[in-house]
Amino acid sequence: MRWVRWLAGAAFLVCLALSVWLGLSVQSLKFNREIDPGAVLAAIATVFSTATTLVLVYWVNYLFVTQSASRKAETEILLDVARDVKKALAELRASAEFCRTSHKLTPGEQQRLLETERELSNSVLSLDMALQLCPEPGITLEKLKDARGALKDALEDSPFPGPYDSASTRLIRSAFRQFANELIAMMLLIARR
Amino acid sequence: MTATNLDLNIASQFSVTPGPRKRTEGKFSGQEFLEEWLRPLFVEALKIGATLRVNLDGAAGYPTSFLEEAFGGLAREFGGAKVRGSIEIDCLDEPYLEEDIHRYIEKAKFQS
Repeated sequence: MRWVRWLAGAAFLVCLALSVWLGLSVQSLKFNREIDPGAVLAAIATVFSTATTLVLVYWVNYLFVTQSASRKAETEILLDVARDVKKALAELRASAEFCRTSHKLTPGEQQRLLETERELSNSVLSLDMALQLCPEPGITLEKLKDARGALKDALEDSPFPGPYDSASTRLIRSAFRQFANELIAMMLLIARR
Repeated sequence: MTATNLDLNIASQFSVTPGPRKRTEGKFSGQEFLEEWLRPLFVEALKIGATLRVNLDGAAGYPTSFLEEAFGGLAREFGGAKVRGSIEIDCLDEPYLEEDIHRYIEKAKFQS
């Protein structure tokens, strides 16, 4: 968008040169005593009007470009935070691989599950806070927060620490899917802002 | 009525590795925490008109089954409104746990 600013600046300079030329012309006319005061006033008014318009266009464009750049930067930050949630989800999914019908989670596996779930929870909180700082009508985190709660419950409520029954493993898979869907929907909404 | 607060720090007073739901399922269970720490202090807080402040910081993580058995169990015994009115949850390590615990209290059915 920088070229637009250059273009506006160039137009402004052309306008300025034009007004100087007009001024000189008026002066030369004055020496010839062939001046038409009405035409001079009309020319001055036209020059001022054009200059004012150009200055306004320049500043409106400048403000638009500045705000648009800041909005783009905000969107990038929000998407970065959302990518952290996605990464935390992948970590939790890897930990949840141990939630099987065949065995009880070892203390180490339990710990890893709790830690990665905490990471996911706190990454959602970071996204929550980032969205509060860059509010956008139509983007709320409620569904993602509900999906987070449901996923935590599916993983860590009875029969935690296992062995998990088949209904529990189905519930876990469904909770992961639901969370991933909500996260994708959220990321698309952020990208389109 | 006294306005003193009672404090309970799970990591330093009970365990840094809270366990499963029932005593039969493993050590440091929600049931054990409810029976030996949470309920006695909650009753004491009710008696003196104080607020019981439960701090969850410092532990390695809290399984849903532990939290539900402890806080949901308390709500089943005393009613959700009474528990909500007399308990404050504090957790900087995982701030959403406060919402989770309120959800378990909300869902627990009061058994008079």
